Amino acid sequence: MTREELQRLADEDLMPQIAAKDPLAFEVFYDRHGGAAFSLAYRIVGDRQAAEDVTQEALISIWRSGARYDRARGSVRTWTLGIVRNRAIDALRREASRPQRPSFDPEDLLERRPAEELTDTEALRRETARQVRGAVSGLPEEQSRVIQLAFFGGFSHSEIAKMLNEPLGTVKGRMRLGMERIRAVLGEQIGKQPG
Amino acid sequence: MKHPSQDDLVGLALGALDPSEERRVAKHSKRCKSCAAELGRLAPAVSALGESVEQVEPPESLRESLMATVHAEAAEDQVARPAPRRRGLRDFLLRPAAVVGATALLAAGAVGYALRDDGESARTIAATGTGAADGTLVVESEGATLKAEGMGDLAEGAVYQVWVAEDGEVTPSAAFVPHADGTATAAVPEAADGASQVLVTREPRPGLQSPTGPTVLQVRL
Repeated sequence: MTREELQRLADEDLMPQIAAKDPLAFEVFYDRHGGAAFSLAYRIVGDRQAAEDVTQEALISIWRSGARYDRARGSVRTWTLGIVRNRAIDALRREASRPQRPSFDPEDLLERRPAEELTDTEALRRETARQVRGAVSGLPEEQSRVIQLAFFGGFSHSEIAKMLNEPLGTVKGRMRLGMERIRAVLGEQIGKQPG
Repeated sequence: MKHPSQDDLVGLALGALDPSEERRVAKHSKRCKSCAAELGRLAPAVSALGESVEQVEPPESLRESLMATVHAEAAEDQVARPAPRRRGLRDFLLRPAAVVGATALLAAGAVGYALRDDGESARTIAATGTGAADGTLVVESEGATLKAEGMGDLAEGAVYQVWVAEDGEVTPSAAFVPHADGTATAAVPEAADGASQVLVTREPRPGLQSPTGPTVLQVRL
């Protein structure tokens, strides 16, 4: 297939081409998801070089195991970001013997640095990301904090409870309520979309 | 059948369970339709968290490095695919899918014979590197020696791992940590005969049986 033909394929139809070891298909995949993958890695590890290493490891693992993508388990984007997130958390855990981050600041996790110049194709995703960020930042602080510690910090319920000096049940409950709220906000936004 | 609590399902979706809890809840959810459905309902919210980060442009070096690895492995894959028995070189070259790999093999061969004409018993083959990494592989009858330079610093515990590709299989060879000036020398006895490529990847630790990290150096034999 030519690059133009590959660019017309949906993500789910691109993956079999990657599984067949077509490097052009992987280039198209990278152009669609590389930016989001790097951004998530950067958000988690907080360092450009480390984020580059994490993203490279994650995307190479996709290149080498593209056949493992199962469309029943969600979109290619979700699958990809899940792999990147796991690799980034692994890198955090490797990096040190897990310092407890006593000076944790949710705002620091939420906005590590301003956006750099974005390609046009990322504009829509950026707007979606902004809306979702609004939903997350609109959560009560105690809910936002535990969700972000888990998702971006890789901490477990019990680690968070110890870190915040809160009962385990309280941490679990806040996480559940926060996720329910995000789900509800996302549902409202989908309902507002035209057409 | 006792179902996990909603708190635990949320914990699983966010990766917030301790390892033993995670195994228990994940195992249950694979068999339980209602819990699997609940995880499915949580998935968009979890995915949204990943999408919610401020978007930053990745460095061009990331794309270059990835594509160098991907194109090299695709070429290796094409070369490694079994051809029909006793297919001639001309037939091989006429296969469109083999063009990239065959061209590389011809180029490497030309270098080798030129050096042999000089009366040397060893072949010196230049490596292709990413970033500042560079090097040569000196192949002799008893084995090969990789001489690398421009190798970047490694995280604690990490190594550069040498791999030898032969018949579509990649096997580990030496692992090394470069000197402070970025140079290193590694014996690669497995590269003496039959090997098609020698690769060097950056790995989190020695002893891995297959590559997981980015390719830093590549030598086509």
